[in-house]
Amino acid sequence: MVTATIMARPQRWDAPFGPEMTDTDVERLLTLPEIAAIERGKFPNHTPLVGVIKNDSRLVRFEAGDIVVREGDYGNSAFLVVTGKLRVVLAPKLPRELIGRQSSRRKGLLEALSQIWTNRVIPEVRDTQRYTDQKLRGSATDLARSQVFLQDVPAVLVDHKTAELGPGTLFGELAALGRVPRTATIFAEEGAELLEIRWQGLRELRKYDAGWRRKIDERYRQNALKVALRESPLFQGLNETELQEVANATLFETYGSFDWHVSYKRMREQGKAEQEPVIAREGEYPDGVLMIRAGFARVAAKMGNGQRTLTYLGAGDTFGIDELWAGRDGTDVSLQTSLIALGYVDVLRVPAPILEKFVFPKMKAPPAPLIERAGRPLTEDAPMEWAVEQRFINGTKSMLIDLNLCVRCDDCVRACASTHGGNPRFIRHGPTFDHWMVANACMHCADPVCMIGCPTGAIHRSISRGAVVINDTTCIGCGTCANSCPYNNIRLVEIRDVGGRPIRDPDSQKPILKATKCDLCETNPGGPACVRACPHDALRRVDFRSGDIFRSLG
Amino acid sequence: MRAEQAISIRYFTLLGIFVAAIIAFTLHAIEMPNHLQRPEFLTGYVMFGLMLLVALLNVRKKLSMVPIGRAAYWLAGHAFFGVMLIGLYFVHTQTIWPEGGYERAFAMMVYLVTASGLAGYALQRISPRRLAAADLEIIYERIPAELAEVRRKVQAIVLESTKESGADTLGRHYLESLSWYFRRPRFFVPHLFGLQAGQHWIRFQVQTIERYLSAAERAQLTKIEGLALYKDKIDLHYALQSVMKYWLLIHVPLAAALLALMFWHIIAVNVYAR
Amino acid sequence: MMDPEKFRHDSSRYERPNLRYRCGRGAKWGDPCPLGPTTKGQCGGTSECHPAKVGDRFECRRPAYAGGPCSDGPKSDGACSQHRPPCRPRRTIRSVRGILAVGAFALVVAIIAVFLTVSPSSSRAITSAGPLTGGHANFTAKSGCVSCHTPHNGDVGGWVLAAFREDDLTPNCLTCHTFGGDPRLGHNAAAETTPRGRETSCTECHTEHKGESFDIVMMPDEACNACHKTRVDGFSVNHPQFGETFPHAQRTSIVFDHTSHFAKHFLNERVKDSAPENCTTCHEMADAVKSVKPRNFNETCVTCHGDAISSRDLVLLRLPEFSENLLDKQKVMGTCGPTLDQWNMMMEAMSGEEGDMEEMKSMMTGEEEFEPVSTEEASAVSAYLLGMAPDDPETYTKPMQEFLNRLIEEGSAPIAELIDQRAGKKVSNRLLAGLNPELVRRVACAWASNVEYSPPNDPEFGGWYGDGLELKYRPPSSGNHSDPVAYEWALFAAASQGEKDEVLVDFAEVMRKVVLSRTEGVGACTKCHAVSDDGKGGLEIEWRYRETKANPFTRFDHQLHLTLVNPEGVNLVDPSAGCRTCHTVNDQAQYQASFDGSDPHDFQSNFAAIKKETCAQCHNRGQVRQDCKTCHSYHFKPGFDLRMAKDAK
Repeated sequence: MVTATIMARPQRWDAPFGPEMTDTDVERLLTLPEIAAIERGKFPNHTPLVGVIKNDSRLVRFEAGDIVVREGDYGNSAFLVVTGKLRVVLAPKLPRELIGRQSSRRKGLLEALSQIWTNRVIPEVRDTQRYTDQKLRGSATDLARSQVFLQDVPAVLVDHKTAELGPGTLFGELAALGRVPRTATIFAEEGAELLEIRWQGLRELRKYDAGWRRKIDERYRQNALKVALRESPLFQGLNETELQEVANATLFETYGSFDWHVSYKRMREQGKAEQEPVIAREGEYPDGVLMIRAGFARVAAKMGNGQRTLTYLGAGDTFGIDELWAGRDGTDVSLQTSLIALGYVDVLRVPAPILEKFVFPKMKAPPAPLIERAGRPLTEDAPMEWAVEQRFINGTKSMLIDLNLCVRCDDCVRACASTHGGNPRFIRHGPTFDHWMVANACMHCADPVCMIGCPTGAIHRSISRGAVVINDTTCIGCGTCANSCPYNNIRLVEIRDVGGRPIRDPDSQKPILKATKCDLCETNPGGPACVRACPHDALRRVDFRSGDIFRSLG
Repeated sequence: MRAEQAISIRYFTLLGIFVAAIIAFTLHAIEMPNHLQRPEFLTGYVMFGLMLLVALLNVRKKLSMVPIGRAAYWLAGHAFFGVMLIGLYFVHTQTIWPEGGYERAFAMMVYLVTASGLAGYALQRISPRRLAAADLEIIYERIPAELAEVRRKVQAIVLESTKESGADTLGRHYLESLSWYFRRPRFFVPHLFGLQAGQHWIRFQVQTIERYLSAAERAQLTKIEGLALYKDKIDLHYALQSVMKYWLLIHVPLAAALLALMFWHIIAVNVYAR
Repeated sequence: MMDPEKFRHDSSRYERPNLRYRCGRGAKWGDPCPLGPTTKGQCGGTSECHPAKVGDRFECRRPAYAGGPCSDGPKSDGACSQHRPPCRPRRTIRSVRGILAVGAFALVVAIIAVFLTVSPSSSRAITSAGPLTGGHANFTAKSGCVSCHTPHNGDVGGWVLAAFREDDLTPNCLTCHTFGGDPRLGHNAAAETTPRGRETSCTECHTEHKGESFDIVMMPDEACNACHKTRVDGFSVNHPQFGETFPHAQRTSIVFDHTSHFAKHFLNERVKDSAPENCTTCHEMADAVKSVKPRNFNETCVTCHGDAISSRDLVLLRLPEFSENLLDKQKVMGTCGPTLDQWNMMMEAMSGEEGDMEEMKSMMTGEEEFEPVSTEEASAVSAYLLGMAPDDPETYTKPMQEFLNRLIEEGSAPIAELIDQRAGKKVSNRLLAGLNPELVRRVACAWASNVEYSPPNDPEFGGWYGDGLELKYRPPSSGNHSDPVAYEWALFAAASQGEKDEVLVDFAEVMRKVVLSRTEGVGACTKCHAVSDDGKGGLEIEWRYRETKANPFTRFDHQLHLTLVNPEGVNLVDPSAGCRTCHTVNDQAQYQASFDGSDPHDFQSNFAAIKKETCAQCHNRGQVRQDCKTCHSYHFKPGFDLRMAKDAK
């Protein structure tokens, strides 16, 4: 008897996206034109279309005024409008308070100074008066359902130019697949029912259905690709038509897992190294230049039994241009280094003929090839290798402490506390390597996985300074961000009233929690107080991508 | 880093100007007796100003929420001007040991504060490297909790070993000798001087009891030894971090007393010596 | 490396370094509870949670970092079931530090306050800058600080005011310390030595409260350089060269030409044996300090110059050449009696021929032609006294002959009168002491009769005498070298410098030139005694040895240097050659010419100026001291009033 090996269905289906999805719902959905058009046969047996719909999507209902997505949010799902009417705000953008953001007003010098007597000794005191202004719908227990809504929809419609999104509209797929923040705020004008598809499902749909693939890819090509291309120095000299040709020929590739942080944490706890997919292998012949669109990848050269990291690349960086340039006269030059994905990487591949036609004629010779870095002593690159392994390369403002200088006086923690009402927002502990420590302080990542899934939009990237901040007022303490952060930099705290008693939810009597983390002293003049406060210059907020950060200052 | 370098250049220029001013001033003060002028008032008031500046470090440390210069520069200034004050002190007093009761107390205070400051500065340049080389980082306030945990673990191992083997060898040894070690940080002074008395002691303990143990017990002993060595590192942290915190308990109160005497000196000198 | 589990966000809390207290159990190295002390310093771990009432049940609300909800749950009355006896929270190191700092500050303030109020001696301990020098300490012991410092009335207000007021101690110093000049001026001297407007105070240079054995009068060179523009870093280094005539500021009062004496006079056969052998024969070394005075005239010069005094005469009157005779011959003959010739003529006439009678008649009537017996000039003295030019017969004939007339009748009285007139006071009795009026009459008579006066005998022992055409005074030689009359005449001549009458001024000058002439002056006084300006426009004759008016602030002690041996191997105390180490005779100097004029500062000394290099042979770096105070003093005649010290005791 031939037993067909049935591949196990995706493990994630054990935790379906929408547990309340019934088969009836699925049936109904299959009748929708967009879904009906999908060729079921293209889907493999272990991930049938119905399975995808049942487990990787859910029906969400919105009432009039509810905000569906907020501009600037990172999301991991796309939406298909089933019934109802939605509005996308085009211009001017909604005031940030309306979508749950805090206004990051910087304190004046005198106000900053007055903190010296307004700071409290009692930990995590909050003025609960602020919270009553909150437009929170739903109880704190039903966290997933709590939303922020617009009170005055007609006014918004009058003051802002909007566009209508009716049934059949698909939106949000860029954010879901491409790690791009939501570009606009979308709210329900009247009651609406949406099919929310999580990114895994979206990936399956794009992979197996040509129609969806075309739709999604075209959207990307239209909206985002040219922007990404234009930002690269490689395509600077091209005019509009040339750029269009390049855009048309560009291929999209994704490596690694979107939820890399989850698996990464799990792997770390188990002591295993994460699986790092190889994008391009040393010794192979390149057929186009790889441009990182999102995520991180490392450039590595074979060293003994391992792969030595020479550098790592982030959004906008290119790989393979040295070899292609050397081989533009027709000789075949093989890749001298490998490109290995770290966590999650979105890659654009621009084929070599396109380069030869449009780019190389206008290009000057590239600077020294990366392989030359392999000549450096191993010890010099050891800290960098460690940082890559720990995924600290994600951080733009990692707190790096030189342990040879630090006298363990905790002045940095005190300074942090003094700018946050007496509550420090980081801990002076963390992974160490040689004499370096990366402390438990928010690194304000380039790829902020903490921002994925915030129900109220409390965690967001501040427009003015780019720091990732949590709006204390709108945070409901669900802990999504804290659990997501791969570096344990977000902490939930029990808040207290001015008398020192813990504030409790009236229904469950559970203490109300708020997520807290370093906010780069956004509201304080002068930038991060921790750096200012260190009496021995041992503490720095570093971007691991910028230059030689592991030089000792002392 | 370029912005940092720019700021650094600006600060060093400012510091350089300050230094030049103080040197010029000192030379002028040394010249003054040649014109039958008393330089003591001038040098005294300049020292007063510098002392206030130096003492302001304490205030600055509480004011990190306003951008008034990096604490590292303030500390460098504090140390630097402190050293300059030593020179100015001798220009001012023209002697090592003055006459007069309160002036002697004042001088004593100056020497103590200076000595403690210099010693503390040296400590803070040397100790961090030693701590980093220990390959362990622990926050000072967490040491009691950590030690309690180590103690619990060791006790659990001893109990388990006793249960498994039925012999009380380890238990007895623990009560006799090891419990002393795990009770609190030990070998404070050897750790200060970089001596490895702790490790030596652990080795001795292990060698003492080893011969009376079975194979299984030896395995447990190895675990205990690992925990003991781990605790030795904590002890090193405790010793060095303690000293790095406690020396200020000498320097700061003495400096406060010094400030009080300084104010009194200014009063007395203006009332009686003008 | 620390277990990464310990970094998890749900198993690690923020550390709060500003806490003032820490768990007492942890402080004793026990098992610290995770809840920690309250902010007020009490144990926060007596119960592990605050149970929450949900519905009608109580639920445990122990936080996650403390272990999450406990298995026992709360007690039925809502209290937590996990109890622990409270610990005694201890203060953190930082908190202790703050307390110690404030405490130290307060302690010092308290100690100062206590010292200030308990007793005067403790108050002094807290305010005094040090013990006083021995001398000052003694007498201020009882009276205390106010011996020198201005009191501040013991009250706080006065004390505070004292902080803003400058305290002038100088008057208090001056209760005991005295000076030869103004104590507030530089060098205590006249205002010219101090820059205008700059007053000094004692405390500018002298500081007290430096301990019992402190040398309060020690003064470094810099103190001097503070005012003196010419900076001196050390004698041998850059002290200015001594003056061109150092150490002599002006010419000597007695003209003694060392050069001529040693080169010529002492070698003279006649006096060789009594000539001084060396310097100390004349100069008294025994107690000499700065100046080495020569001994008295009678111990030194008298050997050779004892009778010099009688070698020159004063010509009081001289019969000048008259242009005509205005005298009444008969009156003259009547008053004076006839001259010998006239007597002979009368005798002859009475007994003799006619021709003789004719001669006599003509003589008596004055018909014969006048032939003056003298062809001289009048004396300078008479020129001055009578106010007439002595060389012009046309002018002086009449007044002189009138004067003679008076002399015939009154003797010396007219002379005395005139002298007193000129002098402005009665000095004639001294100037004409010993002058017999009868002598004057006879001399005048002779001259009036146009004959020379012939004295009865030679004036062997001096005195007033007439001789031929002159009435003179010769100082008697008695072995001692002072003559009162010559002395008075010298004074009279010197005093005539003050003659105010326009006409007489010139005659006075002529008289002075004669009487005070170094070569012809009466008694040869001015041969050795200098005639100098007295500084007030007049002249004075320097009768006594005048010590060099040297700088009052410069010291030199010969005695200290006598034990030295000079580079030639000569001991300085050796009078024959030792003195020459520093004092070398200058043969080329125009010493005598210095005394031609009356300005004592316009002179050339017998001795070459002592150069700084001479002294610097020993007073230089590394050898004998060369600081300012070696030779110079600041204070002018510093003294001490002992009464004050005695009283204070």
